[in-house]
Amino acid sequence: MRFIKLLWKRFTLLCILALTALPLMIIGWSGRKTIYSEYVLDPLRQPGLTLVFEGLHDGVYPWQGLLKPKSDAAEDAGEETTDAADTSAVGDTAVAGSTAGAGSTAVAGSTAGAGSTAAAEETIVYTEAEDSEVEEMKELPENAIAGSVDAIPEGVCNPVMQAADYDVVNIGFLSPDDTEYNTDTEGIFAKNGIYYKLGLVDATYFSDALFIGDSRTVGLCEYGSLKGNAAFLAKESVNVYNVLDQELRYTDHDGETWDAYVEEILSENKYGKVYVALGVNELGIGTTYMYYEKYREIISMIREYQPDALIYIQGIMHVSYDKSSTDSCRNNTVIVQRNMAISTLANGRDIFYIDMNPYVCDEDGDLYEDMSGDGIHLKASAYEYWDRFLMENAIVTGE
Amino acid sequence: MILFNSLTFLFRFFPVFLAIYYLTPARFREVVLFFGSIVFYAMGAGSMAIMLTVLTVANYVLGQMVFYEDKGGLKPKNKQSFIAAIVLDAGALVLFKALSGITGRIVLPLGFSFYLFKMISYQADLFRGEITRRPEIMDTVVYFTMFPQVTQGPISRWNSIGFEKRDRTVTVKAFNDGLFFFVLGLGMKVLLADPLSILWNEIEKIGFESISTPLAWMGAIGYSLRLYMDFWGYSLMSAGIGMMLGYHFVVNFLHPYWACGIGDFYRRWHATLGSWFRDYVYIPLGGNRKGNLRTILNLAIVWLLTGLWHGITPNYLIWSGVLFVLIVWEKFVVDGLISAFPIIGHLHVWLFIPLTWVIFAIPDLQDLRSYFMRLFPFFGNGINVNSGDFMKQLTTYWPLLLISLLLCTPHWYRAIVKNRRRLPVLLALVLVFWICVYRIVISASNPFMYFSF
Repeated sequence: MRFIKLLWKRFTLLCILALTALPLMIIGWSGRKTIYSEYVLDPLRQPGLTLVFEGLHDGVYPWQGLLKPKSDAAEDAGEETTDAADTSAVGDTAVAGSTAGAGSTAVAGSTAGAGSTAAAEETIVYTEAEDSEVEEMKELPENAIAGSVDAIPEGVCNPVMQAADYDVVNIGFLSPDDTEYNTDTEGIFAKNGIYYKLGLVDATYFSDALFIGDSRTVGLCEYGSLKGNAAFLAKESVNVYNVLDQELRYTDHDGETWDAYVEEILSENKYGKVYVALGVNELGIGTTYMYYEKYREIISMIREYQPDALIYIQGIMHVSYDKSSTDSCRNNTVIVQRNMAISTLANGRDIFYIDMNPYVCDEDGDLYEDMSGDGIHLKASAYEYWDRFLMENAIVTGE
Repeated sequence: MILFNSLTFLFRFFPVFLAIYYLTPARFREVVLFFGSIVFYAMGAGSMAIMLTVLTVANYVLGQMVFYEDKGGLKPKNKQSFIAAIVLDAGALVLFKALSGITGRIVLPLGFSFYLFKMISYQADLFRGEITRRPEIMDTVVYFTMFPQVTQGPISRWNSIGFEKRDRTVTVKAFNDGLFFFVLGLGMKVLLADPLSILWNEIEKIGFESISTPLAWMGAIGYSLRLYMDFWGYSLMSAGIGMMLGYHFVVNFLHPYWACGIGDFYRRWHATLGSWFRDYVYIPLGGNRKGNLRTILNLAIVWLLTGLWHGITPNYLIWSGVLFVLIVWEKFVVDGLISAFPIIGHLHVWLFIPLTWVIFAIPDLQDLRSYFMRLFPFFGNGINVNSGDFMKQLTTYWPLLLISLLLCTPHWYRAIVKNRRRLPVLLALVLVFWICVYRIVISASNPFMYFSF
């Protein structure tokens, strides 16, 4: 006892540090197979107590381990893993269910609705329909073109811009090259042979548009020319995994701002177009397939709330050479693979893939250094290229 | 790399090292410190540890020849050995800096310029007879390689850190104070400097030509504070570890932003580098004893070398050139005025130092021009400036800026240090420690914490 007293008196700071570390260590180590089973612990480099902090950050609190009997907790952990593995199946059913009708209504809706004023007609190129499809053509909206259900014709979506591979990629963020993405034959993501081509519009086109995204979209709102015209729902650091769980900053068509959840905004307003740009903050999280699945869920959700809107999937903007040639996660190899994956979600009818990269990248697919201060974002002075791209790559479905 | 603010250091290397260090009998502790330091260095710089070891041994051998007993002139000064040592150390420094600068590819070995400056000062002190007792081999190798200083300094002196008198007994008080300074420094680095660095990143993101003038000034101040919290925090951690091992506290920062004039600022900012240049360049050149013209020339040489030491891109030369002009201006033109009205000296610091840090921060001259055009918007307008940018950043960063500004005054820091043995202060410090650990854990598992897009 006297020894402890002496120790406390002489090394108070060290004692408090040790005394506070002890329970953290116990909680960390005892929970490493239960509540913290999702986290990787490298005992050589970090102590068990770091698990407690990782948990705190993700909303997993130490008492959750105490409240649940050990076996339950273990089961839960097991279930979570299975759940994660099954997400694709669950996601697919949900999408199919909601789309059986939605797909057709979307086409009908877009024909009757939109009626946007644009100078696009001249630039839209029509292809001649096959004889066998003449009957069907009668039902088609005026600006639509007919094609095969196997492939989207050229000019309907942008091709995914390729980029040089500098061999720095951490393959943990990629999915195997032969991964199949959208293979739907029905539902909102399926192609049905009716397509619209991208063309030129003016700024008024965006008066019923909503842009959802991360800090790049925040930049577009703050430094692009569409503020006060389009609406924006964006926040720094959001990614496909957390964008629905937090309030983002909403800037309405008049430039008024407040914080709101994505679902809230989508359910309370009606938009003619919804633009989505997500994909930078998750470059270091999960694989391409996981990203694709989440993206798909988000698009399904948007479609559910906005059955008549055109949805634009904006390909992830590339990063600069400096970043792409040195950073194992933020590089164009990962970005291109992820763009390839999300581009398959486009159906060319009411979901489109657009890729701004040719406007801001060199022939190697690297973002021009002089357009970016940090290699990842456009500089304020370069947002005009994004604006221009959007105006030159829009769909007009009505007359 | 093994940094003081990494989990590997905090929870693996340092506790294990400390335990071994104190379980070892006192006379063998230097051996433990030497091997510990080599492990520490090799974890960060791999094979470069061989170069450190070779240079250390070479300097010890040459130093033994340079050393002379100054009692009664028993042994003449060994000039050749001294020149050989200086050529070796300075030559290695110049060679690596030049190669890196020219090719842009060769990376300087970790902490290279810090330990070579120590080696040069060691040889010079031996040659001048300031080291009066023949250095022992373990003392020497530990002095050059000791892990608290090997990567980023400070450039401690042989005599001031406790080798001369071998008065390195560890006391409970010193150990506790060392731990206190270590945690305090950790807090400055992790909770203030690191988050403040995002402000600069935000400004780079927008592009210098498009920031509003208030944001340009906020950026300059934010960068100045971040640099200070980062380097001061590191220096406190380093000094704290040193104290925990039985060495003297090394003063590297002495409230520089409270200085009265630019010259005074650089006696207080990175003081071990400033005093190195003073003792081994400025004074040997004649200092201020050979007339005004020679003083100015000597100052020019010192500042040219200071600029080159920091880097060879043109902005460093402009940075050091501007400081040289400011110091000459203060010394020869407004000296009397500053003595009469110290506030003028303070204003010099508060106005000019942030501006010089902007030069320091921006290597590209075109970018630098853009930034200054936004600081002083009389020469043209920015491109696509959003006037709301200042308020947006201020809403996020005001608490960090405020705390950092308070720590710039000597009063707050002294109050904390004075009460460092009181329980409430210790409890607050423990809280700071765990918040730091939280931030480190989160940033390790989420590389985007500091750069969320």
